[in-house]
Amino acid sequence: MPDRVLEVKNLSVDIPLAEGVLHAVDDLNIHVDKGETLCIVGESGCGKSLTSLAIMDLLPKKAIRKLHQLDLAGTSILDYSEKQMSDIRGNKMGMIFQEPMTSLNPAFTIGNQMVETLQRHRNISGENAKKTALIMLEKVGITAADQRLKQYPHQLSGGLRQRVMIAMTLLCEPELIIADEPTTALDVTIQAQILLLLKELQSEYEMGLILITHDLGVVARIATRVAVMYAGQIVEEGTVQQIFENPMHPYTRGLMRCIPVPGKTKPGEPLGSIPGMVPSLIGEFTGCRFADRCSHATDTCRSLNVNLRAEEENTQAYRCIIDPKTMAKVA
Amino acid sequence: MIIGSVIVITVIAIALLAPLMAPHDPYHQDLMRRLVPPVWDSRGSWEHILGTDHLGRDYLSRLIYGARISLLIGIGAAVISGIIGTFMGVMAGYFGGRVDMVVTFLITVRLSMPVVLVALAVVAIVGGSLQVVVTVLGLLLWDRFAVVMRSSTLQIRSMDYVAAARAVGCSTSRVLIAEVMPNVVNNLIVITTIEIAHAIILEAALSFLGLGVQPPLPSWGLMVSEGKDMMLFEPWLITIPGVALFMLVLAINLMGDGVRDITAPENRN
Amino acid sequence: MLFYTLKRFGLASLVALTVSFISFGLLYLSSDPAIAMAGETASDADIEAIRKLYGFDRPILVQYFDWLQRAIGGDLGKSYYFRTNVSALIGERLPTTMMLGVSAITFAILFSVPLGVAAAIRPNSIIDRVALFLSVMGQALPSFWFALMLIVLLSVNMRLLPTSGSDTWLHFVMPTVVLGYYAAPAIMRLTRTGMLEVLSTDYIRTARAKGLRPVVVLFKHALRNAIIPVVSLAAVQFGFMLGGSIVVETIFALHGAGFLAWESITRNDLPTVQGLILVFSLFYIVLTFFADLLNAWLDPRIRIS
Repeated sequence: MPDRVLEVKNLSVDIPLAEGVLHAVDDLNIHVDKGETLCIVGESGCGKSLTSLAIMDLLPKKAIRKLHQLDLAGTSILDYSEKQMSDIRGNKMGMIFQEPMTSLNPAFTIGNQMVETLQRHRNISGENAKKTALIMLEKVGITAADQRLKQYPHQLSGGLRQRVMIAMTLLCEPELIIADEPTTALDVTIQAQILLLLKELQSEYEMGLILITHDLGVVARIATRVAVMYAGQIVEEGTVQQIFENPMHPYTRGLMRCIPVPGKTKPGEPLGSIPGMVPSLIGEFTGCRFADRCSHATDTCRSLNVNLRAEEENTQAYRCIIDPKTMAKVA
Repeated sequence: MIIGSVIVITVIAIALLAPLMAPHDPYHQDLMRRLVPPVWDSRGSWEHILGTDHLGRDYLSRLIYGARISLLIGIGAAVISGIIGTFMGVMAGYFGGRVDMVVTFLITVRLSMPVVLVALAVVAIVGGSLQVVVTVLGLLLWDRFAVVMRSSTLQIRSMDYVAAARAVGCSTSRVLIAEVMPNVVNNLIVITTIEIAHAIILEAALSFLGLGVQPPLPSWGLMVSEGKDMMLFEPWLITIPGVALFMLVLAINLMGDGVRDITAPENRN
Repeated sequence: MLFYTLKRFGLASLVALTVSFISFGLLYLSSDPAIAMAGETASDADIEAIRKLYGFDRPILVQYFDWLQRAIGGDLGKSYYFRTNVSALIGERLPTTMMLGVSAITFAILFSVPLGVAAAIRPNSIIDRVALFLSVMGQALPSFWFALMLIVLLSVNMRLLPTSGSDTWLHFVMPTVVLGYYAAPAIMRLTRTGMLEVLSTDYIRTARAKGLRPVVVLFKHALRNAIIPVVSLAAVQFGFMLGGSIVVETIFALHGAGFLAWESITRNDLPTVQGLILVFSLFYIVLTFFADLLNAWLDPRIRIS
């Protein structure tokens, strides 16, 4: 696997709380290849963002990360010190956050914040760093880039700030970019532009991209592979075709019913919704985490811990014991 | 919090029961027994547990009666400034606009006047007495009340339930009393404790400088001032009232911090 | 920025005007300034003469504008006691107070900002607890008593420092500590909460995600933003310190403006008291005006808008 950019094995994130230990992310495996876009989908609180922070080793102090393997571009970075990690962050892997309005430091100019990133990782003069920053701003579609370098974040719109964030992340041409809901805070029209931009840049630089989102429309347009997360676990993982054309896990199926399909969904027909609530993840949990919201759930579901597994070599993996055929009938 | 409350309650009890608690008349001078050291000194006696001052008055009794003065001035000044400041702050926060501008302006003016200097000057001109000190401090210490009440009213006002009350046509005074006041009362309590402590320290400072409570009243600040000349030989003369002052103010502050932690845990840091 | 500056300046002038009116009006709190001036033993004729001479018989507003006009020109009247110009008198004493104030605020900042930062980096650590303990203690300590205790301890028992006067820098050590410690808790707490708040912001996460070194994250990205409110507070505290100098200067016999204030108050020297209140207030107003500008300059969101 020479092209593998990221390999994560057995990632768990525990958060000790007064009420007990919150198992926010449970035994998660993901990998991303060069030029590939992995979309992690799930509702808020399912552990998507913690997963991305865990990969960057930027979890909040009280969160406990457990991990068996963490390889970046073929090198294990599992045992890296904080110092070594900081050499990689912003250099070999970068992250784009959800809130462009607050993710840039209000006290410094765009230019200052971009130049400091470059100078941290490259032995480069201020003059040259500024030039590189300028080129990168132009690349992300920012006009009058030399003006923008002198401006402060509050002088830019949300869409522009997110472009700046993208440009800043790309400065050192990282192997992997993690984008945590990069368009959620933006206007709908801007969302499409930013996603398109991300996709273009990704193929230009042949980066691995992890896109975290709860928007299935985005997933359909941009993903190579999809991992569906529910309550801290991946419940289904496969290529975008597999997941969209033949979802296997009841949760994924439920999600699919929640999006209107042009031509298929008739006007006035109610969209699907998934009843019930995500279970509490404090303490030990046995059985399928989705069981309480699943119309097919049996007693076995509630007592048996199921692993993520694929039926055949070329199908997606999922975490459910119900026979898909019976599921199709009832649904 | 608990320690603070215990000390404050004890001091209040001592102040209320001063005539019963004090072993001697705090004003009785016994010139034959001047500057008797406290009981832990080899020259001390159980007759005067904390010794006597330069006029032979029993120090413990003066300390006990002094608690009355400190609390009276602290609470009195905090009540006066609390009424002024709360009124101004709530008005500014609730009505906004011009009212807010005027109040903010008055707060700025007040803050730019040096408190100690103005208080001293007024006391010097009008004459020092308990009533004057309470009034002057009350008229000078309303700024924090106004600032905090203004911002918390502003915050409450923008809440949905206040908007709802206004939308269903509740009168302004009803909204203020029924919706706004209960929600700013926690802040009010915290500021009140801070200002009581503040006023007690200021009174002590004024009395220390000779322009606060006048002798022979047993103010703790005055006791420090009277003991100052002999502090090199009899340091307990200033240590005892100073420690009392320090402990009381510390206890009030701890109590205020405790109230804040309980009522608004999110503001703890 | 220009508009902001003008607006602030206008406000500051208005405040100054109001303060001047109040400090002038203070004189009339006493029933009759002429009596105060003439002294208790003066005859009715003397009082009447003084009243005429100083124009106390005119309407108060006329007297105010007259006084204001002269005050703007730098003439604050004549001291009853020293029989010299109040402005000259204050000008002579002010440098000592300024020196004391500057060293006290410097002491307070140097002590409390690093402590606040250290406490914020590790909340609930030993350093945090020590900082909290010191600030709680500091807030409860009456400065006049603290000053006396320091004298007993450092000057008398240990013979380290001189008790009174202003001849050498050693004379300023205790006054600086006494004046400065009172401002320290507030500055420490604000630095700590500010840092805690800033350290949990998204842009600090971004800075870390860019791989910046912890020192850069902490001192460039975090402190720069956390310090903005501290600047305002330090200015306000500096202003309060000059007011507090009256206690400290009296105890340590430092012949600055605070000591002058105490002397004048005890001598019923009203023009001097009036002038001092005005000067102290003006100083506070000018100080907060510049602090506002410095704030705006530090915070691009105000500077460029």
